[in-house]
Amino acid sequence: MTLALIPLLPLLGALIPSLFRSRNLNALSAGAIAGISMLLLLLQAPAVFNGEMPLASWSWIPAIGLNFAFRVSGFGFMFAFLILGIGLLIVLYARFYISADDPMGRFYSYLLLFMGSMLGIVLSENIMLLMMFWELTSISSFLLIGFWSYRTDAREGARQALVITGGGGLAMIAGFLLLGHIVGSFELTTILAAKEIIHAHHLYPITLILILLGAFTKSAQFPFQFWLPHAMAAPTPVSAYLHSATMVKAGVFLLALLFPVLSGSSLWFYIVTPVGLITFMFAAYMAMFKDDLKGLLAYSTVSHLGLITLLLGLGSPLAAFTAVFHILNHATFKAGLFMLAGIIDHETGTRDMKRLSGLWKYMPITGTLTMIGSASMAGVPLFNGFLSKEMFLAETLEPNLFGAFSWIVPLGATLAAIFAVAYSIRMVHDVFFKEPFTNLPKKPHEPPHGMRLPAEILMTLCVLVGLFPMTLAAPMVNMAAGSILGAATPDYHIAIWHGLNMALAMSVIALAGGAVFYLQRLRLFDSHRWCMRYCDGKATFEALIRGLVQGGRTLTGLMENGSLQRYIALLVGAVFVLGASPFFGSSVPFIGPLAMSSVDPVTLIMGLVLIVCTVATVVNHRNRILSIIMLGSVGLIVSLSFIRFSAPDLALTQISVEVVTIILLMMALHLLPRTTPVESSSVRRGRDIGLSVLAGGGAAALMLAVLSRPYDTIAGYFLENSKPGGGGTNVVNVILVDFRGFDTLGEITVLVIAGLVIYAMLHNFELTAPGIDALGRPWVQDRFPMILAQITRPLMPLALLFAAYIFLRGHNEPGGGFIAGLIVASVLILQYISSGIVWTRPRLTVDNHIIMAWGLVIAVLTGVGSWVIGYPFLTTSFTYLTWPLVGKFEVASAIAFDLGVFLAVVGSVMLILVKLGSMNSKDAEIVSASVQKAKEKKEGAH
Amino acid sequence: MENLVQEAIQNVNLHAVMPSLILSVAGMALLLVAVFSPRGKTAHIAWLSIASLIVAGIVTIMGWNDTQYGFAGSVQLDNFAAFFSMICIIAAGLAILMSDEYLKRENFPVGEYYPLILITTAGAMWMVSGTDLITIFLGLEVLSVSLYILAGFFRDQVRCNEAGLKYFFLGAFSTGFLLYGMALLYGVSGTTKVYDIAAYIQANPDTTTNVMFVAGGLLMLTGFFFKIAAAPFHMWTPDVYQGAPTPITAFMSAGPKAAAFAALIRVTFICLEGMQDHLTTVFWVLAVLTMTVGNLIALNQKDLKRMLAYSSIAHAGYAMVGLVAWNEIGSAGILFYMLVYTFMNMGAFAILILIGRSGEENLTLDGVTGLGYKKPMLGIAFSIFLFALMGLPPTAGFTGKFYIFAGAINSGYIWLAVLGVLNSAVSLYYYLRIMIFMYFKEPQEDYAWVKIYPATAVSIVISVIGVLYLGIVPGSIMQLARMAGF
Repeated sequence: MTLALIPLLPLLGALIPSLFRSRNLNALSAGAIAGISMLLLLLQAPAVFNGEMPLASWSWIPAIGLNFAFRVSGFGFMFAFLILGIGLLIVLYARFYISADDPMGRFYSYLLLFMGSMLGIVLSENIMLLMMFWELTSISSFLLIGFWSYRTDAREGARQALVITGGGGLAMIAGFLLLGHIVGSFELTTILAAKEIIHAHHLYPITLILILLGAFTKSAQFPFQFWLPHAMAAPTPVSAYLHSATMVKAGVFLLALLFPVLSGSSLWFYIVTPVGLITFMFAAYMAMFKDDLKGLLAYSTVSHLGLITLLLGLGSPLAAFTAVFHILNHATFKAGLFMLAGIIDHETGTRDMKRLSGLWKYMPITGTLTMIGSASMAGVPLFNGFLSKEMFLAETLEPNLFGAFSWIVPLGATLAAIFAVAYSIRMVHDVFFKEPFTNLPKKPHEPPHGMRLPAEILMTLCVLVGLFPMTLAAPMVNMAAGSILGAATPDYHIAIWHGLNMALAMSVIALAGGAVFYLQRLRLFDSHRWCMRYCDGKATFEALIRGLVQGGRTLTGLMENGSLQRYIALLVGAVFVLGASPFFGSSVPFIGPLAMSSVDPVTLIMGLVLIVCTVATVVNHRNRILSIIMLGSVGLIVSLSFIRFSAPDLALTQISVEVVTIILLMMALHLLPRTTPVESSSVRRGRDIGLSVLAGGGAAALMLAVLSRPYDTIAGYFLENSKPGGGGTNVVNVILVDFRGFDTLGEITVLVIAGLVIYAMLHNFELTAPGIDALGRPWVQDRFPMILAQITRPLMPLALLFAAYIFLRGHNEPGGGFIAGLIVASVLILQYISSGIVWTRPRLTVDNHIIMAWGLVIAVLTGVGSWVIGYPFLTTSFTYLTWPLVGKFEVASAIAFDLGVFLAVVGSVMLILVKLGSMNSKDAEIVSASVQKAKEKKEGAH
Repeated sequence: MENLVQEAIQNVNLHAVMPSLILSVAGMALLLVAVFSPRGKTAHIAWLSIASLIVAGIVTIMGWNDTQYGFAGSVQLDNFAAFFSMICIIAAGLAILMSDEYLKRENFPVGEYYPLILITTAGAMWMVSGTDLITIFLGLEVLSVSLYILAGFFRDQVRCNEAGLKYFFLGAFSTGFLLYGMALLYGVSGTTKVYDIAAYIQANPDTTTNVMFVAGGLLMLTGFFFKIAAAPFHMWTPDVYQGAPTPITAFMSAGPKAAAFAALIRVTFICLEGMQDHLTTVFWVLAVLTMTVGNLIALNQKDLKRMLAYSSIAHAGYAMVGLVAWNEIGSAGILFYMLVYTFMNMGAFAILILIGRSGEENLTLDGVTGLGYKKPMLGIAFSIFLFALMGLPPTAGFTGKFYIFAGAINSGYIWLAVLGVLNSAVSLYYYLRIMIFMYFKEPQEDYAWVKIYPATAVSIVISVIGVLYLGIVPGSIMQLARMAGF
């Protein structure tokens, strides 16, 4: 439990510092939390130094193999020690650094959050847990970098850092998932024991690449190095903590952690070594020319991380050992140097090395400390940086997988070392010496001692380790390296003096060359300008983002212009592609085995007329009347084809529906403008024609495929059972009122509701129909032609009688309530059309609502009736009566139901049509009146 | 004939539709209550609706592990249906919580709003529990028609009308395809019951190459693709999401989408198994398209609502990765993800409601400048939702995405997982942009108009708890999803 508390304490306690108002309490509480964690870590020290690895594990989300498991390996211990140790110093430093205006509590909260997540990374046993902490560091560093929130560069730096490290982290999730997939477990202990399985697996390359992406982005390795210098807008304590010792080290931590299982392949070498080498050289070169103190340190950090990566890439045990040692050394001097840069910034008001100079007189102690740090950074003997750099240079000389080109590595390393010396000299000489400063924002002086203390401690360590490596550093390094390398740990004696060898020669060349370089710097400054401009990955990154955004914009333009037509075109096209996709290249024949039946001339002609009419409807859709006529013809042909195929009932229905539909369309279109303008371009019309041909062709092909295969129909059942079961020979009607009576009940309910809704929507809704046609001619003034009126009036009783006949014969012959209802509705509406609302309304006083309601009530009552006599709802029964004159007549309860259908149809159709027709009524009267008036005027003029 | 009727009535088993029955009855009763309530007074209807949702939720939970079959096998209330029903109930509840004050602000407090949400939810439940194509279609239509109304609810706002109309037109088209497909499936197998279709195919294996079956299956799926807004069937989403009242947008993006996923999973995994080879290809192509299109277009959006609309498309793409896996983990992943997504997305929309002004003029990126300082609690909540949408731990977005991608990897779709991860990386950009505006820019306004409506705040708090709970201790819920998975 104490083990888990090490990372959890800072995480859970992160809120505490922000609870206090006092700045001292803020710092104290943060320090106390970090201190307790440190104590808990030290409790583990004896076991760890004994070579054990304390473990603590709780099951968390077993479904995805995620355990809450921590381990303290030697390497993890070293890292945790660094994180907490430097963290404590940062807490102290920040207390003096962060100004009173900034919310100190929030800063410490973020810091603790970050500390906890960092500890989580180095102490996790489960790689998924590690992953979560990894992303948490991205988030908390985002918050920390953006701490000076209003600054544009802070904002951009923070976003860039999070996009790159977060994105890399996501790649790493994929890599970890693959790793877990290969090994079958997310536990590090299991993974670290599975080197052979991992290397032999065919997914090894992609796994490796994904994990390396995560590590390289986090540790700012080429080509992702650029985010780190731009993150320097962060407050200095943040840089000192995140960008020297902790977050950026997470990448190399991961490389070292998985070194035992991932390294050892040529792929590992060919990726990691060049990346390390390029980063090492390139960043050292860039560091020389940074005028910003922190920028210089940032590039230097990138460079040193490259060095560590390079060492890990080389892959030998001794190289790994050196890498561990350098991690420790670099953290020590670089954290100190960042703090010193912060002090200089804090006390002078600038970090620009062009303005800073001659500070030695004012800040001798800071100057001395900076000299120690820089010397260590440059690799001057007797400082800790020298030790690991010397070992590193020796390692580069070992033969490696580059074969004949192995010399590239030592050559590059020496070059980078020369740059490193040059920028280290520059940091000291430019800032503290040269001519006296002229325009500093503040008068410089030594900082408060508390602020300097952390740097003093770190610099003292640099010197002490440099002098007594075997006593101070060796146990820790041996233990850390031992936990990575296991039995392969080299028995290495860290020493200052290894005799006169090649590595020493390289060191000497670097020191001398660096000095020369520094002296020649002004000339170099000019020649490298191009590099400053083009070698900054930020530009590339931004170009990439711009490209993405641009791509998105293009895509947006292509897909989303708000046009419904385009959406529908896309939808139909997509459905066609999807629907057709399985048939491309399919071996199964598309057309079925049934032969085509022969076509007789009548059917053929009907088919042709149908096609012509349909096409004409589409082509003439702007000419409304014409297209309605064409549409009517289509309906007529369909009715005729029903007759042709012996379905008179359907034909009757179709014709009556057709009539009502045409009336409806005429009424609606009457209110619309005569013509619609042509809005679509010819390209779009071409597209639409193409699409409709495709979609129509597809549907036709599908139909053909279906009909050319044998299939069963359900018709037989109904034909057989219609008479015995439903008592009627008109199967359609029996289905409607008996077999599927419940459906019909639902349908008429819907019809009634639709009627009501349309009524409600049109109520109080007035539209003005245009009084003239497209050519500006007024409508005929005689709105209700006498002949039409005179013919339709006597037609009405005839039609009603016919409807009654159709209704009554419905059960056995073509007909029924639905058709009868439509006939009645048509003839009634005809009265409105021919004689006008003013004439018809007083004569047709029955409220359509009531008719409609009665229809529904009767239908429901019929159903309930059979319930009452003990049958299920809507069961029909029938009997035969012999009526005088009519003869034998069948009375089925279904006829009552059919009556309900009839009434519902009449009521709702009338409701809709009358409402639609009367919408324009006032207007129509006014128009006719005005026309009348105009006529009178004209006559008067004569 | 009579026997059939008798049998059907005996097979009704109302237990199988109890939750949806409660909601539809409550919906209709509340419609009447709304008629008799004075205009402008809607709060009591909202609370009654929430009460009915709670009752339905309790009934659903009590039915866990107790599969009920109803209506002669047309409905099956199993764990799968129960889990998805709960998602819909939660989505509806959150939507109602964030609605009342919003409707008042938008000057349109009309009572039928809440019953419509309840009825939509009931439709969604029929979809998730339907084992008959007709039941599923019925559910889909009940859901769609109510949503058409809700999407265009503010009838005096042009944008809202446009949303409703576009949704209706495109929805009608897609329903046509769906129905055509179902009819073809019925034509092949002679039944509309999904298990009977599966049995028929088992007995006649050559059906799987039958043109009717293949084309029918795909046409039916397009209807579902439309509802889950998978590219290229997503075109309606941005316009509709942007125009619809915000709580409805939030609801639509969670509940109905989950229901469509449920129906898609059930129908596909049971009936269309014979087309697995082809369908996995379809699924993964669509998944990649959906993620990519959603994320790429979202990069460009200035309007937050529209940005979230595209992001929701992308999230449907992530969820579709679970379909590709075509196994229990995959479907459990979708179940879990949809739950997670409900919380994180609806939470984000709830924030948009609070920072919006009447007429919704203030939903651009600039509109949240410095919000994090002026309204710290809102800022924190919004950040949590955004982190969740990005898929970062310790939020549920991480666990959800992880679960889905792990399923894909275990089924061998490594590239799909990698593409999914790359897509998440792209999405970081536009989610972060919101946070940048919230935190790293000087506030231009004092956000005086932002009132923290209590009910909306409750919905935000619930969402935050959901996002964090499912992110930090997802074990038990994941277990439930696994039990519910297909």
